[in-house]
Amino acid sequence: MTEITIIFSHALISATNNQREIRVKGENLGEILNKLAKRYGNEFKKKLFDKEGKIKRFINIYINGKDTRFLDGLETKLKKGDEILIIPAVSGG
Amino acid sequence: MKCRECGEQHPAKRIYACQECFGPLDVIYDYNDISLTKDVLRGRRQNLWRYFELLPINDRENMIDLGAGYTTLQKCEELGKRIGLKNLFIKNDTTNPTYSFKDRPASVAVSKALEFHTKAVGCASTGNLAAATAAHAAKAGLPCYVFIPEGIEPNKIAQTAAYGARIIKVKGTYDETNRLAYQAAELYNIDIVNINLRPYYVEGSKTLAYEVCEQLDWHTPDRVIIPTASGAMLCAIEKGFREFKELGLTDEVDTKLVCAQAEGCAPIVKSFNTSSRQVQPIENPETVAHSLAIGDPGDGIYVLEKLRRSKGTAEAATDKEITDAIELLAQTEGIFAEPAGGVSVAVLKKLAERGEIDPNEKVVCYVTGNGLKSPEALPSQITESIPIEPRIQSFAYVIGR
Repeated sequence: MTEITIIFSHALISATNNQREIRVKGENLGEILNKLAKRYGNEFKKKLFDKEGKIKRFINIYINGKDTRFLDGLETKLKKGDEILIIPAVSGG
Repeated sequence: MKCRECGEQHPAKRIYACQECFGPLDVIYDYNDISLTKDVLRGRRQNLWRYFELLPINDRENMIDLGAGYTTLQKCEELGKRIGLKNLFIKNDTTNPTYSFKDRPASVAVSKALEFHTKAVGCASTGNLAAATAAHAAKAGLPCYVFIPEGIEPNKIAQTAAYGARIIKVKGTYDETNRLAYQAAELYNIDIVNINLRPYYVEGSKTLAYEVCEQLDWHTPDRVIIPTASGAMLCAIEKGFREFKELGLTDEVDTKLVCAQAEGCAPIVKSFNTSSRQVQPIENPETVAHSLAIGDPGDGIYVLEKLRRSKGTAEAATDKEITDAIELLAQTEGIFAEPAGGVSVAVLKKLAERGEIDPNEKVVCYVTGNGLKSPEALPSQITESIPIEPRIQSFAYVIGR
């Protein structure tokens, strides 16, 4: 299994036992998020997923800096050393 | 503050996402405690701080005031005649201290940073916010880190550098730049005004609505045309009209909102036209309107809701339509706009010519940045001039006499 680094926004760490960065094994993004949901439980799920179980529309997930909406979403395959960043969607120049 | 998604309330601290659901936060006010009247406002200085009670700053000592706001609302007879509108106004925000509307949110955000005893501020910018944040940070005596993508107009970079900001030029798009700024804010304790001070920052743009109400003799317009990138300004203008009504300073708000985008970066327009509730981001925006080149608009989904609720619309303009509109505005009304202003005028013209705007409607078109920031956007045939010999015959030849 491929080991991946996950970095959480500060705004999310109250739901991740104050962990800002962890390593998890998994083959694609969906599998990694499911593992995180199991590990951290309801509070994490409530922040990340909507009622239909989809990623909330105001959350952005990046793999090595690339927005996963420009990749294959939850199906995006991962390789060793990949870095996943989970942050709220905020922008405006 | 109140979460826009779940409604949970939070104290007004240095937070920007809901502790319950991760949703975006909005500053809220107890309108019963605010006693702003028309007479009180009439007696105040003509800048955005006249609305102090409706801005999220506790102590007037922290106000960083370069004089932003209370810009002219210009009645546009000639432009109106050309496109068939009888009650057309331009809100001319090209005359702010750093020549764009961004002085409004930057002024509020840097003031809030002082209130939070911040050590450094910054922003992720497509150019205009860079200069605005840098200027207000200079006045506040705070170090400033400005993150910009490649391709920003040289004048905007020169202006920002002059204020002493540290310019971080990122090899990538605005959205990549924004993500990097986000990470820098978290790791290096920098208050990025449009990221971790965002709930406070956006409040400054509400003043664009308050002023229009005042300048229209305490009435709201029938329609507003708003150049849109992230969507934050459109949401703020809508909130501003609602708040004035809440305070009894204006009548019923029945203003149709129009979201104007550049065709090379129009994710909100595309979603609106397909009746989607989601906004599909654009990976590589390509438009002459660099200040609107945000492919992943943070407030896009909320703009869609507000457009539908107001019975408004969304429309895009091509690069050619944008530069033509810059010329049209300059040559009819004497206002030189940057391409973002060209976008709103181009969309106004399209809607008027298609008959989607009643000729008698009171329309306000927001022009939010000065043309001197991006003169290279103009076609070369209007900027080129051929030198002549210093002889009167040469002049006569040029003018064809």
